Amino acid sequence: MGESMQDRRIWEHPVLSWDRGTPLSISYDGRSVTAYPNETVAAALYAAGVLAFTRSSYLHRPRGPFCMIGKCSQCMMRVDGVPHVRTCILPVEDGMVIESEDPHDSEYPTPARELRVERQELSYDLAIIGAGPAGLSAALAAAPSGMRIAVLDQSPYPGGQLVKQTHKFFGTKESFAGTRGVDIARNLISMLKEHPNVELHTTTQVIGYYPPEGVLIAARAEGVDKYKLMYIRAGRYLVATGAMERTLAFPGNDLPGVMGAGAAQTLMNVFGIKPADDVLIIGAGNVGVIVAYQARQAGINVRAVIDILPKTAAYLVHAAKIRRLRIPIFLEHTIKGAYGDGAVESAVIYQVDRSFRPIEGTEKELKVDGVWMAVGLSPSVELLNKMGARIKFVPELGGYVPYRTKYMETSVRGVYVAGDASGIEEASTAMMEGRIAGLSAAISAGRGTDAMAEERRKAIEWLDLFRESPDYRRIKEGVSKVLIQEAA
Amino acid sequence: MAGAEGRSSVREQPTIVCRCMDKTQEDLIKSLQMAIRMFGPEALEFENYRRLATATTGFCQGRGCLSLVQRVFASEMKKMGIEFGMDEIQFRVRSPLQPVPLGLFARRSLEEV
Repeated sequence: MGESMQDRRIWEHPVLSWDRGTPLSISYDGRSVTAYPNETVAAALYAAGVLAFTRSSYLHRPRGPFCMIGKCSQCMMRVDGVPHVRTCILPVEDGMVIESEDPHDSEYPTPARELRVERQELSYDLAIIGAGPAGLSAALAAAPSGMRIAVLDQSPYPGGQLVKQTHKFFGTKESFAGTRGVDIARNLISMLKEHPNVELHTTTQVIGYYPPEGVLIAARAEGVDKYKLMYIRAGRYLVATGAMERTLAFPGNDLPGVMGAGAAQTLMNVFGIKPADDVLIIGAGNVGVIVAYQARQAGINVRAVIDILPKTAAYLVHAAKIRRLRIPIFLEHTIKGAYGDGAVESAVIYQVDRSFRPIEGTEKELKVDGVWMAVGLSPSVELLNKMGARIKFVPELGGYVPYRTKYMETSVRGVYVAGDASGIEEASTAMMEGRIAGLSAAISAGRGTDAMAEERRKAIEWLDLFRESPDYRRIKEGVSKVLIQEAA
Repeated sequence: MAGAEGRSSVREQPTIVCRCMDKTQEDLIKSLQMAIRMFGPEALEFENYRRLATATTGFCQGRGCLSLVQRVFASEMKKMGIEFGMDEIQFRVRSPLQPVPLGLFARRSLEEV
């Protein structure tokens, strides 16, 4: 219908800039779409105004990405003839052919294309899964031991969720006060490069673990049809797989345009793309208010930030920032539904009483094309579950989390955990846990030094002290429920 | 009245609990009633239910929906007077943990096996 492709990229921003490079071209359902070398396919499509990426398998509902970090699997498309490729973690290449998949199509899924698969047997002293703040810190802490270390991450770029944290951290020097998350990631990666005994494998997904020998199977994608299948035997494993954003059950909760607040951050801050023009943010905790502020910086109209609780859980600093911008915060409010034809066009919110029941006559309809969920995260413990770690439901830590010692070793000997996968907290504590776990992996392998033991003692002390503050009492309580007492 | 109110398809949105397998809240309750008929309310475990309902078994392997599915399970079981302890994880996930092409594991011919 002569529908021209839009450009939702942000070209002017008060604090951020993007070095985009020379544009290239990809094809989307027969149309030509401009993309830039640092973008993923999903980012480039979003920039062109494509919101619905695929159709759901039974109800035939239009769907678009929810998480933008390779977990939700709602961004799968056919790429160069290969079906079911997660486009949010696939870097663009000039001339790529992207097609939306329709499960009701008689040719679905497309005939298989021959894959080029090279098998490799590898062995390391330590294999770290996840190159976010926890995984990178763990690798850095363990590196001086001289152990052979591999860090695996499914994303094309390391740094985990630090790369979208464009606000300055606060707290103490140890928690990187005054530094933006994205710069912390850059520093960690450049420091890691100085250690020749550490290998960093990006675009590498861990797909299985087989006891009793303990073989970790990972697939490194080198294009959509070319893989290295890695059979990894490591003396120690360290799982730093992070978390996934939660959603809520409400009508229309799967419409394109409903996404995690973190996904919106990825689009805005990493790629410089406006996910929406008018947005409703659900959840007025730290994530909700920080994202509201960043949305405003990106030129997005934040119609409201709502929270079902009577008071915001956000730090005063962050909440004050958005109050200053006069972004409306409605407490004791929740979403009734999201509505639209093919994508979100409006949302209805209402007020609740103390028992969270709707109050009649308080419904408000907001014209929005984005509904962002900032309602918490669930730790990603699938791999730990597969490895046989004992896992417990601890609401204070965000859901299912593994038992661990104070050295971050799980109930399985030689398997360590760090970061959000061990409980939802923050980047600074994830880095400290990573350090403790990395040092412990080295020390338990007999590769530690006195200096490393001392560093570990200090890191544990820092973490304990951090969790003494009133804001983190809940975390401390949560951790105590899954703490394995180490025999002296 | 024109506008969004006028389009019933726009106003009638399902509540999706498991996106990958396209399961609504009603689907989950229906599957639970079937599961109870099959196993009996006392013997029914979350793992049986999960397999029957297929929720949490799609591409994302329950990363997005596990807590929502469990909430439905727990609250429906509670109505029958059965407390479902969420305490320890009740099932073991299976490989592949990520959606990768099956061709990764396939061999070209029998000779290669």
